[in-house]
Amino acid sequence: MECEICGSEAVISTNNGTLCAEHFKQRFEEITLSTIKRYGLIKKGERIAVANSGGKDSLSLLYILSKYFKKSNEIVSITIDEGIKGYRDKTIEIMKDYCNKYEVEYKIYSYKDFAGRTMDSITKTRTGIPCSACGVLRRYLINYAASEVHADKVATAHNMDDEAENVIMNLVQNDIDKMVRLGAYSGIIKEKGFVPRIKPFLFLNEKETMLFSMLNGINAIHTPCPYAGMGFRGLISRKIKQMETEFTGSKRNVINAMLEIKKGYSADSGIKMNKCRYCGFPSANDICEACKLKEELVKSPVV
Amino acid sequence: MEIKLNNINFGEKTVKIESNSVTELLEKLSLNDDSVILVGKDGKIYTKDQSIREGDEINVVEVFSGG
Repeated sequence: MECEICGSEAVISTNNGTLCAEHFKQRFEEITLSTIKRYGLIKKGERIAVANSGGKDSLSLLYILSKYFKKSNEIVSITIDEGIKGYRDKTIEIMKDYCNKYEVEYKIYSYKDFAGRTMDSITKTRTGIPCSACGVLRRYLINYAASEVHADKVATAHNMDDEAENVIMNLVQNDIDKMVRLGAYSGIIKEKGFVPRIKPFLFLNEKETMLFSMLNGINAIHTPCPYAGMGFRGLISRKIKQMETEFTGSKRNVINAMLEIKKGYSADSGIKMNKCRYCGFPSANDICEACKLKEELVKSPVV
Repeated sequence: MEIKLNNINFGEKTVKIESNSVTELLEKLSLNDDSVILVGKDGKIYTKDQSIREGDEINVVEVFSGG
């Protein structure tokens, strides 16, 4: 395949184009910036927290946001340490090196500090797939961390694959209310205590994100979380990649369909918010999911 | 033709393919083009339509969620 711009040898061919290394890097940045512009994700002067695991996606996001918004905005990196030995400890070192090198302020928040347990410990006593507990704690701590660093918005490196997985999972579970909270500007609920989440990589494939980090020499370890790939999400993830290989553009179509459905929902369409009795952060219930889980973990034996 | 592969999960192995095509290699490994990046020893990135040469050494980098 030849690059559609210059005719030299292509390194990738996706629904975003068939491109050589240089034009791919350029296109990747253009798509990120156009997503930010189209959805008004970042306004001048806003303090943006980047949810940064030290992995390929979040370092690529930090790279682009620092490159284009460091002069007009404050960028701060927030990291959630799940406590996964041999994995997160390594990416945290990479994150620190990157932030120190490019002079980005960073803060780390851990499951251990919040719930008294690491993810490794949780998996030893809790049944079910690790991702469900991990997701609850991570989402909570990202919002908590973003609030604590006084961020106006929190940018996550969720890409097209992640979002298409979420859409399909919500559809299969018949959870349309949850699905319409997806999108580049995540959350249709306007509530004090919720830091809006933005996804500048929404229209970029996982493969593109990975290649971008490799071509830019972003020193990320290219290994997945040891607990990933299990359960329903793992199945959907594999099927989506198979679908995309056979029908290019499938993931984009899934996201476009979700965005169309979302248009019909308004910011207050039936979702009532309370404050969690324990932590005071917004919650659909009397006690938020993270505090419920924390309560459960405190009662179970520490391993 | 024999191709040397390296991958974080299966380590090093040699596979035989009939043609010189990346598509055949991916089929042999039961991998989708969307789920993998094939990187040559010299840093060359193989797209699915490209040809592989006898003796090529390829790092099979699997695309994964997260990070």
